[in-house]
Amino acid sequence: MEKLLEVEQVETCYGKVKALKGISFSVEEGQIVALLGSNGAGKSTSLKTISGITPASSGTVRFMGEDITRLSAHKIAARGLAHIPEGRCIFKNMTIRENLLLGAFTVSSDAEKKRAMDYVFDLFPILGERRKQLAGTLSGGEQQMLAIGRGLMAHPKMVMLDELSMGLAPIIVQQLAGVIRKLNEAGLTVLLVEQNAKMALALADYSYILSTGSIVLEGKSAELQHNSDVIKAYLGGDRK
Amino acid sequence: MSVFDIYIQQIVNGLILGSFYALIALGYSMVYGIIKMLNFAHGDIYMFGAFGSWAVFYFFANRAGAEWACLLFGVLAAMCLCAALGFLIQRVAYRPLFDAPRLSLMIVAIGVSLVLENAIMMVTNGDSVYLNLGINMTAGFRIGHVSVKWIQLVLFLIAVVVMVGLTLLINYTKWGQAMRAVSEDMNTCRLMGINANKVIALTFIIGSVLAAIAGTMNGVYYGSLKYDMGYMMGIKAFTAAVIGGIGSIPGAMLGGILLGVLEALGTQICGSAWKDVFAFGLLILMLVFKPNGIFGLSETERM
Repeated sequence: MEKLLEVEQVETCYGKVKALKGISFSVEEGQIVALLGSNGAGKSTSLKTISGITPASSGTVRFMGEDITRLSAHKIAARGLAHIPEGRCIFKNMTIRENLLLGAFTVSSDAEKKRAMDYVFDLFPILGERRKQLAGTLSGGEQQMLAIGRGLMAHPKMVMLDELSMGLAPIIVQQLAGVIRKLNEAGLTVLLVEQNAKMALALADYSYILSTGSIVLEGKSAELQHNSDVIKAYLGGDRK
Repeated sequence: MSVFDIYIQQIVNGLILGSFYALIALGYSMVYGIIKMLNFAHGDIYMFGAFGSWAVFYFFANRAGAEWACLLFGVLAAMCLCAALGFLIQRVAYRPLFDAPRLSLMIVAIGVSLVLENAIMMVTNGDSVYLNLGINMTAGFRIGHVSVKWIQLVLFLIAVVVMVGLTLLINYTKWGQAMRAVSEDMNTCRLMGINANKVIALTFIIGSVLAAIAGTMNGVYYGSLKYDMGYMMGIKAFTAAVIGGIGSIPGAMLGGILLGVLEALGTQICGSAWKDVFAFGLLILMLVFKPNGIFGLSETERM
């Protein structure tokens, strides 16, 4: 398997605070990989660093063999690495259709855009029914669907999902997890960031556990699932 | 002429003034919407536009003799000049400070405003310059007792066409949609592959072009220009943008027209010395009772 994304000794700072203290991990093509950790462990920062929103202060990030550490965020997105941010971040004052079209900003052909939109509507029929509605009127789960759909519009090779399950009912989380699995089977590489360890471990092939800016544990998800003591220690006692 | 007719006449006059305000307010509002910055140099870009078209009139008027062609050339030249100026200002003075606190940006904007005003003051020795295109300014028609001049009608229609065009551009083109999206959430736009700096530059260019159109219209309508003409106009347009709801495009249009009409009526009632009192009194009332403006969005979060 080829390594699609490689993160090497990456450090990221917010002012004087070091949020990532030299983390290294990689994602192989076709894999689902999870980054787990509690609040403030550096999960979201990892994704923001990869996608160029808060660039690394040292270390390297490579995507498809190319060093993207110093590229601007919009150029990284154009290379086929989609980042679906925490809290959905949909454009609430724009329609669902407009949101999706913005996701395809880098796609120039109208036929391609149409095909991508049909694909998203096929995946989430509710979005198709409400395409002319303002995105702010959607429920939390539907907004998350829109965020995923928007992230798929430009045919990315890999998506990074930040807190897919945040604030959603378990049944919706299950449904979305099913969609992620389906997308992965169709060839999409996925990097998940989650606090919901149970869901993420069930979905991911390989997982890393982050704590206060460092990776403290990694392994096949199936193995980590049984290592409940460690998970309890790093992710809080209430999750198994 | 009855009292009623006088007020109607003032509304007609106010619509013209209001369309100038609206065109300038749009630039304020769009820039604020995108980077949450008050571009205090915007009134001076309007002044530059007025002088730019004046220079073209001056150059061509004695040779060609075709007034309307002159006007067209003048406004196109002013639009190009202001587009370049707007782009340059944001690139050189503002972009290095996009990550700095907004106060720094505002102070830089005041600095840019002073530079532009003083540049024109040096060129014109601080005197007014006069503009006579040879267009018949008084010809017009009457509806009852109310007189409408052709020049008023033409200028108002130009403003309406420009505003309709802008609305279409913002709502139905790819880059217009990107502008709206950047004003909602810049970082998420970058994740969509949108070059936010390009969108910001485009916003400055469009705002400056609108200011150039307003500057030319104002020059033609009043016939005299001065280096400090952008100062009060800029503040009035800013007031209009706040009244309409800063950041909102229909708000800037409505706020501008509303301010123009109320000012004209206020002048009729209280005398022209009270003109500015009316405008800023309205601003204060608006800030006290409806600080988000007419079309202002109150942000709602849904989890």
